Amino acid sequence: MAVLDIQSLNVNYRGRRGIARAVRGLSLTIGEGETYGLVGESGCGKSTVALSIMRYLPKQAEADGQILFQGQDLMQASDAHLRHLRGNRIAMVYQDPQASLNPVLTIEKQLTEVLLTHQNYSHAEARQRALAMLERVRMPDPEYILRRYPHQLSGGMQQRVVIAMALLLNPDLVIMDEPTTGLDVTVEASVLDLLEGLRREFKMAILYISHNLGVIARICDRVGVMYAGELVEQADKQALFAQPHHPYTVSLLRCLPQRGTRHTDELLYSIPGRVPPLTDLPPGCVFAARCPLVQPACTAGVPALESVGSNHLARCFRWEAVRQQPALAAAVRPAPASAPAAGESSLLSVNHLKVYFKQAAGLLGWGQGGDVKSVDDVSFSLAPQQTLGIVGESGCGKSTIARGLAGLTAVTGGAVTFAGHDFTQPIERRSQNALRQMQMVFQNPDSTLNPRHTIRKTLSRPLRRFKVVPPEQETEHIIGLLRAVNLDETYLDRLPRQLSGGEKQRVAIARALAGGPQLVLCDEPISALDVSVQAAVLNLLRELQQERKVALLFISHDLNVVRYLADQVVVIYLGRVCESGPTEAIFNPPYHPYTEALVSAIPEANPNAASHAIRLEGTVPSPANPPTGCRFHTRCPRKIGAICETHEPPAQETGDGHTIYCHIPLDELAAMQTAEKPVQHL
Amino acid sequence: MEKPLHQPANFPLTVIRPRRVRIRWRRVFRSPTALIGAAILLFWVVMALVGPAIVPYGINDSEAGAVWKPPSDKHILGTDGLGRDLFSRLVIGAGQMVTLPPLAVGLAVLLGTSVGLLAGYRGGWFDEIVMRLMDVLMAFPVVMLYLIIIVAIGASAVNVVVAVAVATTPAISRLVRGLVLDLRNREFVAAARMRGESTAYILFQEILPNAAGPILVDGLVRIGYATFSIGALGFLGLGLPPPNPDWGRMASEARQAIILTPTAALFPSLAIASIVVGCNLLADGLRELARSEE
Repeated sequence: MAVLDIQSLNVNYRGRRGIARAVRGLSLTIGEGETYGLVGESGCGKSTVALSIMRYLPKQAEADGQILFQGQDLMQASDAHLRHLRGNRIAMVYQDPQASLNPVLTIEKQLTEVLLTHQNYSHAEARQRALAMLERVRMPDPEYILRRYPHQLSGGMQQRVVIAMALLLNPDLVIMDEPTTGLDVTVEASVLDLLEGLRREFKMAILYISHNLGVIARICDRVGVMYAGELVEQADKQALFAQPHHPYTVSLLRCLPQRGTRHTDELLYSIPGRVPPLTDLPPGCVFAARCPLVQPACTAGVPALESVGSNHLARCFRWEAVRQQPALAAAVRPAPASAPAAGESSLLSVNHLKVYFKQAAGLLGWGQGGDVKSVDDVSFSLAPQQTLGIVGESGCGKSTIARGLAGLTAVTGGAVTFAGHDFTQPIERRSQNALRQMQMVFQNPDSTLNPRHTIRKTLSRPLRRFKVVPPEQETEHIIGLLRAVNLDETYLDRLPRQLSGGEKQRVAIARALAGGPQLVLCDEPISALDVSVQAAVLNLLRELQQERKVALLFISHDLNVVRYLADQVVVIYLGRVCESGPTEAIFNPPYHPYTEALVSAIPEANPNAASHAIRLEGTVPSPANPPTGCRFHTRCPRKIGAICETHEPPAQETGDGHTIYCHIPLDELAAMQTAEKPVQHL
Repeated sequence: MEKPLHQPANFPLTVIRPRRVRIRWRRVFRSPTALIGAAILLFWVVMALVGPAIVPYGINDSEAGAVWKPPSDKHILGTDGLGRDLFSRLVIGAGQMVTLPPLAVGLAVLLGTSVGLLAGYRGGWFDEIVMRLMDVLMAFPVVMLYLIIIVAIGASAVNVVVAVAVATTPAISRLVRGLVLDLRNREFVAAARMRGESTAYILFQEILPNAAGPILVDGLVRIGYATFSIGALGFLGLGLPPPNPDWGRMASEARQAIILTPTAALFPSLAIASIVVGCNLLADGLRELARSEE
């Protein structure tokens, strides 16, 4: 008997704009020991499914259908029975571990509480079990962890505690809602390793919800793809990734930059349009408006979920056509002609840049008020019309570099020369012309545009400040800008809240380009966007770079994206450069051990991808008190000895402009990194 | 709500922005809370406007022998200690109660917003000094602060407004400063700085419009408090000088007849309370609407 059997689940939310039909006719089953991945973009109803199973839906939601958990219908269960099931038999792991843990209780209290409430354990027994469970989730020094409070643990450790808490009572079903989404790639990789091991060990059924196809490919047995509240495809993992039968699945996979694809080869595939509003669904297939294979029949009737192979369901009239994929293949657009090879001249040159933040001394001057060295001696240069990628984990100082260059944060030391201007000065001292040359695209689409300003106003302001066009040509010019970012004049008088995340980011790009800059700083411009939108925004940046001859400084934690887009890459760790050079050189051995770990941590949307053994434990140390010698030595899997702790690593050049800061000789590094067989890591 | 999507190409560009900071009155009808609050306030505003035309007696017409009378056909709310018609005095008194509190709060919002904007945006020592000064003002018990100010500058309509404004400013500046501390770190402010915008532009065009909603709602609640304060000042004999029909003073005078004619104290008190409640209901309703809009 299946552990979880959902039959034609419907969930509606009553809202001011009418009834949002968040989940429609969803059926799925999860067997014992099976991991079922539910994937889709945001707003497709994945989390609503999780909440319905737990019966945690808010008051304004109405659900009908059947949710059978080991044969009992949860929809009919009494509150007392549900309370018994939750935690005991069904556990849930949420995205944000900080919100799942109580900040004022020790880890011990929180773990033992689960046992004491649900089962008749004595305190001593409960503590023993908690300890054992922490060991099973591979926590170093569990005794010590038990005495800690949540804020004393890193994000990855917190998530392990939450997972331990979920597994304490040996539940039959665990629901995981984006459990690794808020974590750094390196941390995500080790949490995924852990989950992979645990699911074998515990033989529980897992419903794993994620927007990340790479994560799904690593961890799940079967996958369901949701779009606009419907299950559009379901298959075994291998079959789904090898031969998807729904155009949406195909498109999602195609949106990801493939390993090895470069911006000079081809533009990324992107899905046009956006998810239809759930309050006002189109007749016929919900994906029809965005589908490359759409036919008149698609908008006339609603396709059913039909069998297209063994254990393979797809909700598409044209699944046979999808299998052949002619139309989808034709959708690849060749990349525009590449930028002329960079000359010797450099547009931006950064030498020994330092950005320190003063740490306030304690009360009445007690305690040490040291400096937080966010960026400590970073040098790089960027040629006109080229793209420089900056990568590293969060807290490494990537964004601080951009803010320092932009003048938003005061620079402590070093020299920055940009287009002949001295750019170490704060923004207030820079001339209007200097400001015009360097603009920025920010990370958060919800705060990048002033919510009270219409798009017209947002775009007209830089035109005026930088005196781009005479006032009477302003509207015309704004429309031109909107067209350049694939929007049109209907957006002129809209407010940001009437725009989707991707559209907001397009406007932000148009704003940055309005003054005709030579350099645009992009600080994680796509990380808050859905996969399909990411691809479109990346293509846009790429095309605009060609057309308008701008250089890009592209900051991202996503190595695949940087690899696709950048000409040059700088890898940053704790405010220092680890490695810098041309993209191809960076992504091939010899790597700096840190780069190696970052590269091997990327979850790939390919279930057969080899999993590399390089894993980083712990988190980035505090920049207020960085490790001596090589800053990476505390986490380095290839540390060679005391020299790493005492001496700063030398710059080793490979000849083609590729520099690695490491004590290990380059040929040894290369030998280690190519010889090693990929190891299945648990 | 829907704006026209197309503008003719020769659309005049002098229009920088339509007024965005406005309550959408049509939407107020969606919230019963806001509607009831607005109705109560509207009632008093209408009373203040048409009052002089409808009152049966003058505010100082006293009827010999008709002292502390309960409501009757002749005097629908009864009479006071000098035989004056309470209904007429209450209606005429509404005039000052619907003008002085909004004036006082308006002044306080002006002062508090300026202080809060600057302190929040500049930060550093300027913020320290200004906010500590505001803390000093806040440290006084409010009634004590009124007493000090009114005793120092005398009781008059203008001085009452000044006193209430001074006492209300610190709280508003705190609120605005808090909002600015959040807003100034938004990316759109960084974008404005990268265009070389002036501090004034950033404060008034980028930040203030986004803080206007909470300031407005808070101001509305404070109009309620201010009404209450002005009533209290009148009660303590520090309101407008005697011939004026001051609700607070009316309630205070009626204390001596509270056993005999409780209605004489009740009606002015109820009138004050209704304005306070009206303001709070409207503010709550607006807050609710703003939240549901997000």
